[in-house]
Amino acid sequence: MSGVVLDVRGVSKRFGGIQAVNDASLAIREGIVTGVIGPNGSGKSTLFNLVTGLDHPDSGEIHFNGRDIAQLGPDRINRLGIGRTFQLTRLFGKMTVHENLIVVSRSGRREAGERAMELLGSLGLSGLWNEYAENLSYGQQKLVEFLRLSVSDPSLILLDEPFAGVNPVMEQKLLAQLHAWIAAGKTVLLTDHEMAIMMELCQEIFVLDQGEVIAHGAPEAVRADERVMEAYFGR
Amino acid sequence: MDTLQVILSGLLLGGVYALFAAGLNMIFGVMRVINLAHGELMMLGAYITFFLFSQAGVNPLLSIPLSAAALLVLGVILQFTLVERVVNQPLLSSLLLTFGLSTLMMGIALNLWTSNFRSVAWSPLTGSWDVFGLAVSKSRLVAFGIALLVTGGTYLFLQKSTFGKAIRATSQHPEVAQICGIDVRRVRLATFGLGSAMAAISGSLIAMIFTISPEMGRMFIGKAFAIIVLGGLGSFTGAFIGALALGTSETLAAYWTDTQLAEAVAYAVLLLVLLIRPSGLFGRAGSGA
Amino acid sequence: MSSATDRSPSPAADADSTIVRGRPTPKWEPYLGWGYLVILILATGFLLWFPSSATAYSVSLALIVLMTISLATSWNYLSGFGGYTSFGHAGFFGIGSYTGGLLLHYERVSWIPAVVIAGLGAGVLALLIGYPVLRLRGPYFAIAMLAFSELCRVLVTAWDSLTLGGRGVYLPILRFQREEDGASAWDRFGVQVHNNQNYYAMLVLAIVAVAIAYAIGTSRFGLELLAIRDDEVAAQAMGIQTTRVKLTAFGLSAIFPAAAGAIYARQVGYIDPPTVFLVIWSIRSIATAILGGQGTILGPIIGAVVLTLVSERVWETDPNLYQVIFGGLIVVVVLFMPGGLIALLQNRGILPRSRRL
Repeated sequence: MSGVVLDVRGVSKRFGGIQAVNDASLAIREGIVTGVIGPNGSGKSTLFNLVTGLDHPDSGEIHFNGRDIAQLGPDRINRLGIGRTFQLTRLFGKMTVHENLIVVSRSGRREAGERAMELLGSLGLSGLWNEYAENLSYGQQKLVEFLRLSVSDPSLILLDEPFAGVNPVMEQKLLAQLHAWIAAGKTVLLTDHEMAIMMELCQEIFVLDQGEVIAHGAPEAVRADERVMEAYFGR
Repeated sequence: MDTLQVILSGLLLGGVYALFAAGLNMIFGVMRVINLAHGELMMLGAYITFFLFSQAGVNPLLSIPLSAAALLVLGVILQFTLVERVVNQPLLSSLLLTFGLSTLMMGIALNLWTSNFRSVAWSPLTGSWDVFGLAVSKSRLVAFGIALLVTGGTYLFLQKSTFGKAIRATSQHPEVAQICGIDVRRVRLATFGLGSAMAAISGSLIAMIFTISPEMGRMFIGKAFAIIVLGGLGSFTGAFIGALALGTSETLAAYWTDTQLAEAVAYAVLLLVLLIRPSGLFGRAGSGA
Repeated sequence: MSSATDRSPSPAADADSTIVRGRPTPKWEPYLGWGYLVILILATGFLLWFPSSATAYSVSLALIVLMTISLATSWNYLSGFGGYTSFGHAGFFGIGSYTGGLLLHYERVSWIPAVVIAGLGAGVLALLIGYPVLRLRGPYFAIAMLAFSELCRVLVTAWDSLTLGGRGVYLPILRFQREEDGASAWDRFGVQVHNNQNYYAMLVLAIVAVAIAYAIGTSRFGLELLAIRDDEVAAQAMGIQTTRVKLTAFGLSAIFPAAAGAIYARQVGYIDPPTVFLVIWSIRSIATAILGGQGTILGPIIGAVVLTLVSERVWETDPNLYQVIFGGLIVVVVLFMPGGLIALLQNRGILPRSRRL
């Protein structure tokens, strides 16, 4: 049983009249792929934002590798080793793909440039290096976002609906990258609505509904869980 | 007793500020545009009253609907030709655009009317009335009354009438409003026009109280921002309370120290609020930092 | 690095096909380096030689151009590259004017240290107020800086024991003139020397400002600023230390208007709050920068030359048209040329796309 890298305990977040996350607890184990699923509005994105520092919990604790990160800013958290993508890609549109990859790097200019080309090459995107990021197709942007996140070599990777709106060819490429990360020993936490992929990829799944964790465990167990059925199909 | 008088005087002034700020607030709410030219719209209203009074002997109170109508039209034209183009662009564009407009309008006014101060001295409104032993400036009281009327009327309009509700819907969620069949384009045109009219009325009222010059817009825009930020962006009632608070503190400061520092009050308030509590007293959270 | 404009929809080609829509891409022009350098050296040489053969009036005019370059270039650091539009540049100009002006008036130091102190002092002030103020996003920051600028004006006017308030400050040259009763004409030589000294001071300032702009524009720091402009939250999520980046840009940007203000004070000999804190300084900086091109290095230079020549001509005919021109210009540029002249030239293919411009 691998150690817990991300420990979320009793975290709550309220926005005006809505309790987006309600006393949620998750333990993400090292080196495996963990999934978070749930109907729309169940709090998945909020949870991601809380973990990555884009927002702060009203109560509860978040520990990464034993360290309390609940009140830290996003750049600090990223430097500690957590990287993420966004549901709707957020590349730096007015900069080229190459520049997008350089700007987030923490090594010297020349090194950063080489690494950038290397990464682009690994996904067959070398031809795009000099394009403005906003000119890329959606699928290409998703891929570049993946690459951008790997520049800083994080140990925990959060993917927010990586497969949304992506065609099969692109999906294969994304999956390939994901597998490469897993092979490199990284921990992946992802959320998506593509059930088939989630069930296949994840070794552990947490189910959220209306901000609460209603089930967790291995995919088969979760799939058969009644509460999960209810959340998705019931009410 | 003196202090009470000063406070009252400040409150009355605050009422006029509130009218001015309400228009700005509405424009921001509906279009997410910060209209830096709002002060110049007010200035134009003030000058319309001045010229009607000094050239044609028109009673300043009567000039109010005229200046409101004129600026309503101008506002709609400005929105149609210029502002609409930057509505969906980042805030920076509208900020710069309205800033440019403000400079442009002020420059034209300086050219036409020189930087000399003008005043509207209408005898029925000079001097003061005795209200419960306090001397209340006539012009301020009347101005306050009219401002209250217009602000209140606008508030009711927004709450009760169909178009008013359309305006509120658009300011809360433009995309959803559109799906519900609201012509957001028309809402924007009307809002800018209305906001300009409100600025014009406040300008006409100010002309009855203070001397005016083409540069007055710059002074008032700072106050308007202080008010809106204090009361909370997007909050009608918040802005009203903020306006009264500002009017009072300014007048008190002028009374206790000297007029120079009174000017600083608005800016100091603005900075303090922005730094300490950007969402203001009543505003929606997250509208600041 | 081939980039065929392949728009084929077939999925197999998807990852390798290139431009889908819109603007063509920037290219790094290697030869740009050499030609560019030569042009820069020639220009600098010309500027150094200029005063020896030009009239005092032309030198004054050139001084204004150089000052505008400094103002606009420094405004660009935070506002052009970083996207944090500031309406507070006039505040720093005024503070620098007064710091330098008062130091000279009370005859504490000679003029060059006065200018340096004014500049660096403003930089420090910016770092102090920057920390709280830069937490504000977009329009809130712009308004806060406007308030800051106005607040400075009011405070300087009110604190008369130190600043002589509304009466204004006379600087040594003029004071010298006034004390010489019977000196009916300017001491021509004295003014000329002063004029040239100020010119060179402005030249040095402009060169430093542009050099810093170049360093920013071609470095990762500049890319970080651009990232902040594009999407600050994403930039943070990717580990960019946005607060530090913004503070640095802000601090740097305050130095130049302040130093320019100090030199300006020396040039005109008399300053008072309404003049040096006039919003027109902010307007000038902004109009120049956006006319030339926000977030570019040469933009402010081109903008300054065009704008100063146009506005000086206008100033001669009708001073009040000044504001109208600037205001109208900003409106036109925002609506029709948001990228400024540089972007316009780049879109027409006249200038290459390069971060070095």
